[in-house]
Amino acid sequence: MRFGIPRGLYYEPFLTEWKVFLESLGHSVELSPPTNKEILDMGVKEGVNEACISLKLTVGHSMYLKNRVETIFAPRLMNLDRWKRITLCPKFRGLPDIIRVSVPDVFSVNAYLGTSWRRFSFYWKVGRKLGSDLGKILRAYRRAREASIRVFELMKLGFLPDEARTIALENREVKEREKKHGSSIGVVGYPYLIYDDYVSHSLIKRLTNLGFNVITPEMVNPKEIEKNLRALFKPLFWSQSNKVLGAAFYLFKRPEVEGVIHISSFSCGTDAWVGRLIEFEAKKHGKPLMRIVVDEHTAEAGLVTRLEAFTDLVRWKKGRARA
Amino acid sequence: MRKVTLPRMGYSYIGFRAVFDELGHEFFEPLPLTKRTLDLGVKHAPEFACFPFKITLGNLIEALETGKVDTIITAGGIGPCRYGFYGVMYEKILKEELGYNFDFILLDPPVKPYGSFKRVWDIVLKWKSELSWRDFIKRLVRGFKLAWRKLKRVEELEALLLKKRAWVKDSSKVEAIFKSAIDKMNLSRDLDEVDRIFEEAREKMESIPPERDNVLKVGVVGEIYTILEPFSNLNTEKLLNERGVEIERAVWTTEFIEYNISPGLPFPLKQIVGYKGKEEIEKYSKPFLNEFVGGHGRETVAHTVMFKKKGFDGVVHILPFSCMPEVVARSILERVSRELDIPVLSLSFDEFTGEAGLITRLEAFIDLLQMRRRLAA
Repeated sequence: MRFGIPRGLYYEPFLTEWKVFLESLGHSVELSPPTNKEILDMGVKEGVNEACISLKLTVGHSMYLKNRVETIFAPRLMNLDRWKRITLCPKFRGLPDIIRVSVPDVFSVNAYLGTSWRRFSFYWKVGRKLGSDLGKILRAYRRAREASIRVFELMKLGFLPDEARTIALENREVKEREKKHGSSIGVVGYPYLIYDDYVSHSLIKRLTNLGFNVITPEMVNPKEIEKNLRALFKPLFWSQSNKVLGAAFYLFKRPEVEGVIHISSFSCGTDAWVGRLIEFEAKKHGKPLMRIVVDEHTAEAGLVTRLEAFTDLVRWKKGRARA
Repeated sequence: MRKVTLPRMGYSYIGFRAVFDELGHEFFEPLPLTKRTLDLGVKHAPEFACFPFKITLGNLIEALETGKVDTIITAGGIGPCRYGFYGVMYEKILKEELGYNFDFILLDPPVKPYGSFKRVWDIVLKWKSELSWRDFIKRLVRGFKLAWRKLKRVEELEALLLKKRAWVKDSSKVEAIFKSAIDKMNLSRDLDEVDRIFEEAREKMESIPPERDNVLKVGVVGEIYTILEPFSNLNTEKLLNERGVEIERAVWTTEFIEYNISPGLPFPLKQIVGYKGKEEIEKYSKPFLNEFVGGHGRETVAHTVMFKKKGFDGVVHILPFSCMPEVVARSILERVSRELDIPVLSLSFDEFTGEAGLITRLEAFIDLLQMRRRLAA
């Protein structure tokens, strides 16, 4: 079968993992291209106007794939944490059904990916539904996991998801990236926002060009995240939000991090809490924090101005501390 | 003895008053919601917080300003709806940002990793205070029975109000009967008396002769707070009633408790409430929405299908702006409406919603429904 995997709310390392798995089972897979104007326009036209930009984009990416593939592969992401009760934002839970409103052919299985057993049973269900036998599924599963762990490791080293996927799929050897000697800036936010160059206007690349080391939640040790989350009365209900929050708490404590940028999307429900909790914490540590809210109308010029003002502030603060 | 309060949501405070009066704590009745309540809430809440959060936060600030409150209780939750995290945010904002001093009690279910049995036990000890165990349990059960009966009766009366108001030209008379019955029930401490007040009010309301010969029938689905609290939806239901539209609500406080809270209650309380399975919701929401998405998202889709099956003219979907489960439901209602041929009007409310724009939309919707009736005849 010809499958298409939409970007938008789906992000790395799942894209690689699913692509490798389906290809090892003998199906062809097409990833939708990085977001562009055409995809955004389709998503905004079809999607509900109250939804966050990433949900609209997912619809747009699916519309793009509609005539190019037979079926959209859109698992219902339910859980990424060892606690089964920590789930994902409701938009993920309703995603296959939302895509079905515009594109009727959707292949979907509930995905609990918190532990290795849950993860395997997800792939087992997918494989059985596609009519493969145990041996084939096991082989495909192992390959998919290898690729996805590789991507995960590469992203931890600071590679952007698209680079990491290409390297993992081509099985190239890489050297560790040299660290710049400038200051570090933490960029926290959901992976589907901060790594989407069209939505975030390549914020990470811009910061790197300005001479900063960028630290994203993907580069923070998961154990540190969990440790820092204990400061809360109870954890948030959504896996990525916990990751963002824990990473932000950790980054505030690190001396080498000079400032933190929180990227959030307009009308993002979970970020209403995450944003305010980060603000509370930033005040305690006295570190510069900038919150950027993006949507389909965000202009590049305005964003660049804010970014430059923020980096000036960070540099000025550092200079004053030395003097 | 504690001076307890909680945020206002429709008539739910009647139930809480019954329980706390029996336990011997002083219950501070939540203040009526005004423009100032909303302004306070909007000022201190995060920008994209749900609309209900902004209202209830303002309501709590106003209660604390009076100085007659030393304990605030809120229900917690385990997600994925944002509601479950309200309590933590109330505490952070009221204590850390505004500097109020009070005891905060968050009723979280003992589910890992969000709550634990120890936390539940601490809350029980706080409520018990000086009472003996025997006395405490007796009073708790009695209070719970009374609360449940009151909530049920209030809601039956409200459902009748939503129907009756559509048939009369001047709604003030029906409303006066309703209002006085609610006030009497709120203060009553006797089960039989509650029933008597209810019967009396029902007979009075039903004896009013109808003044219209034909009304439209519309179902209301959506997010529970925005539906139950007329202040937050600019009294949409009354606006519809006055234009000759009979309304049936799909969500109620008691129904929410039967579905969601009852399974977690301990022995005698669970039996008072009774339990309702979700099989019907699951059956009707398929194939449009196949998974629980938090809040009333799945119910919204299922109830819309049910209203179609019952032969209603249309459905009004009420949601607060950026509500996560309802945005999912709203995307899917588009398909339900298309495939089942039932008109759906989605109204999202926030602090910027104006009444004039709302009325225009409602009237256009009513015109559409009337036209469909005429075409079908």
